[in-house]
Amino acid sequence: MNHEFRSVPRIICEAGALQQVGNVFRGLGAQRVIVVCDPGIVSLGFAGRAQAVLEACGCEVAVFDQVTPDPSSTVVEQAAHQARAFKADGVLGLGGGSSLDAAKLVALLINSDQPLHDVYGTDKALGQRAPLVLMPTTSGTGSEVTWVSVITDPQHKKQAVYSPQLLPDVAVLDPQLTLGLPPKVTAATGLDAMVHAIEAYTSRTRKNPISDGLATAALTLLGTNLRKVLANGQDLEARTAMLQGSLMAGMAFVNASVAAIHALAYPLGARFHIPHGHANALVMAPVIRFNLLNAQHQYAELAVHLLPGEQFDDEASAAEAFVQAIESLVRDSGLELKLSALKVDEASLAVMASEVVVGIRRLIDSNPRDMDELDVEAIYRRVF
Amino acid sequence: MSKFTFETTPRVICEIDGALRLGALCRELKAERVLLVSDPGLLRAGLLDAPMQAMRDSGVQVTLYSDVQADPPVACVEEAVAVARECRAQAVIGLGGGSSLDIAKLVALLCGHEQRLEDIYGIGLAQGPRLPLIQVPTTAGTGSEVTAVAIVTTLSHEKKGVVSPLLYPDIALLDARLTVGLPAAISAMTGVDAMVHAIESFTSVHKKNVLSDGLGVQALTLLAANMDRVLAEPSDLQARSNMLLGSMLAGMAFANAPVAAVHALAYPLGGHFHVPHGLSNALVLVPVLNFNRPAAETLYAQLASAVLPGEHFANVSEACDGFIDFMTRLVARMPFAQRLNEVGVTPEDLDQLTDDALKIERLLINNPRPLNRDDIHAIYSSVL
Repeated sequence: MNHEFRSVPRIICEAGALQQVGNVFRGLGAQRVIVVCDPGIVSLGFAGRAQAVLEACGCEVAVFDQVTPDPSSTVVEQAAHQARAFKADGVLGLGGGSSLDAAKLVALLINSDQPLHDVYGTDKALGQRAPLVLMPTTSGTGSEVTWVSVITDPQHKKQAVYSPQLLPDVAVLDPQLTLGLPPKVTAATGLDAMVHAIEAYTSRTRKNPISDGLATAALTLLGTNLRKVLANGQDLEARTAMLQGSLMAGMAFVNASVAAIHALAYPLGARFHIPHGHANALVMAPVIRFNLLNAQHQYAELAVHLLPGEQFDDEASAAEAFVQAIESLVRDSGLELKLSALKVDEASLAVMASEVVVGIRRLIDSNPRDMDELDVEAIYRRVF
Repeated sequence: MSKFTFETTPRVICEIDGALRLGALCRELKAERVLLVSDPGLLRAGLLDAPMQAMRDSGVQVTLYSDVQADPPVACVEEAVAVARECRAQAVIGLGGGSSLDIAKLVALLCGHEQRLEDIYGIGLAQGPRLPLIQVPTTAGTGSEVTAVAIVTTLSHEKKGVVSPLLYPDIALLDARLTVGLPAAISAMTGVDAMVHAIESFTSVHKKNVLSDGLGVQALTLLAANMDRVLAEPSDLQARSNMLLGSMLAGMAFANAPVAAVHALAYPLGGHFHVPHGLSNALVLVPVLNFNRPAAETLYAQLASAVLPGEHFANVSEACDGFIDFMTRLVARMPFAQRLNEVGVTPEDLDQLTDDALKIERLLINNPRPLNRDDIHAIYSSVL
């Protein structure tokens, strides 16, 4: 009955919204804006367009374009150093989850004496962050509406920062920026967003009526549009729906938690550099099948939202239809679905399984069905 | 439809006895001296004692302004501002119905930035910063804790509104314990008011978007499932909590996708006959739904699954029937007046009411079906 719910105070969604970022930063009182992105965003011309729009509004602009996938603490420190040297008073994160996660930390560190490693963990950040605007270019991580940043420390360990200051002032969705996403990225990030909605809805820990409402609405948008954007990446309406669905799924999971799919995906990313969305896609169908025993009721509720208009005889058949719909979406995603084909070695499966049940216990705690080491290893084996 | 801006309160705490945490929350907002804005009824009922004591216990110096009246006059704002200045308040807490929350918004605004109330009537004219603001609603209800509007009555008996994103509080705190003592008629009126917010935002011609839709549907689901429960079992904390959540979600929805004809036709009843706002809405709701049906059938059909979860309808028309029938029966069994003549309206008043409703064009333009003078007159006549 007790819940806490946080959200970004302002969301702008419009095809061409990139044109508005200058005014958005003016409204926030920022005049020296650093754009945090990766080299791909520069070569697509998005960083240049952002710079031009900001300069047209009278802002001075610097661009940090060295964000890497699974960004390292070194990259974040370099970006923060450049931001301080530039005397930035505003940060624009532009890109996928990695760029947005890095931008959040840059905004936090600009005005703070705290070293980066001091903010690892929950609520460790002390300072007031600089004005922060986040623009996702994938649909996606939902990072634009979460207060989490995940980075990799020099020991190759994933470190998460949880702090309400990481929520931006404004999330800006411009579906035009997602039109050119390659099908594999579209599939991986789209399935990632669906996992956010599903795991938020079945979370055993912080699920609440607000996250439920957002998760179900997100699932309808994502479920009815993923095949459309895979068939035609230029479908602006479907791309818009995916971006909106990703945002709503992000609002849901950050207030409800994700669970076993994420727990099983993390070691695949950390050890084998499989992109986060793809790693989720690899394990989502078998985890959902495994969870069915305990989550039948919730999966049946989700069936109504994933398969609108369909009629089911009873709860069991609705839940089964939900699981099968997910299995078929994953199968048709075009992603490689065998761990062995992604250079994962068999010996690692047991090691990863023990890592999951020990190291990422808090996510398993949110899973509708408990998992021990053998369960996890069996799921890895099923997709090996 | 896919282009929108969504703004809301960044932090919501839903917790039984959460009001006892107000001291800690003030400290989080870096305030040691706080103005509490409330009304004489809550003071008499003793509902302010425990929260105020809890604040003092955490070392927060709290000053009470408890003279807020229904349809608060400008003088009320002036008095409260004077008290806030006198005690050098660093934060404002609104605890009460919509009127107390509206006054708290204006006090936080006027004490945070030197400006005159009469200069900021209208949209976006207020200047920040405002003082830190926490809103604690005691009805479920107006949704004022998540809207950017404050309404006052001027000396010439005109209603004036301040609309500004600065009016979203830092925190909305939902404590169901504060609502268990609400009389049945008030629970019913405010509950129906909240349902109208959800319905009208979902069918709004302007600014309706995926977020307001998702929140509106979830709001209506919660409100429909718990309305009868709180009337039958006033101290059912779970049901009370769900009503507060539903009311807040409906507030989030209509703050971004505005209300329409039900509200436009309700306002003159409040103005001329001092009918409470929720009751005014309830009186005209059903005939407006029936009037809107030709234009809103599909949307009402979608809402059927929120008020009648699990029921299956053969087609859109039947689902729409199901929804309107549900609302008709719900309003009919509420413990309040059902006809205009019961609140003092005579046939001779209908022309004046119609003329006044016609003037509320800013709301009428959001209605799914346009209304002319005859339509409005016919709606009033049908419930005389």
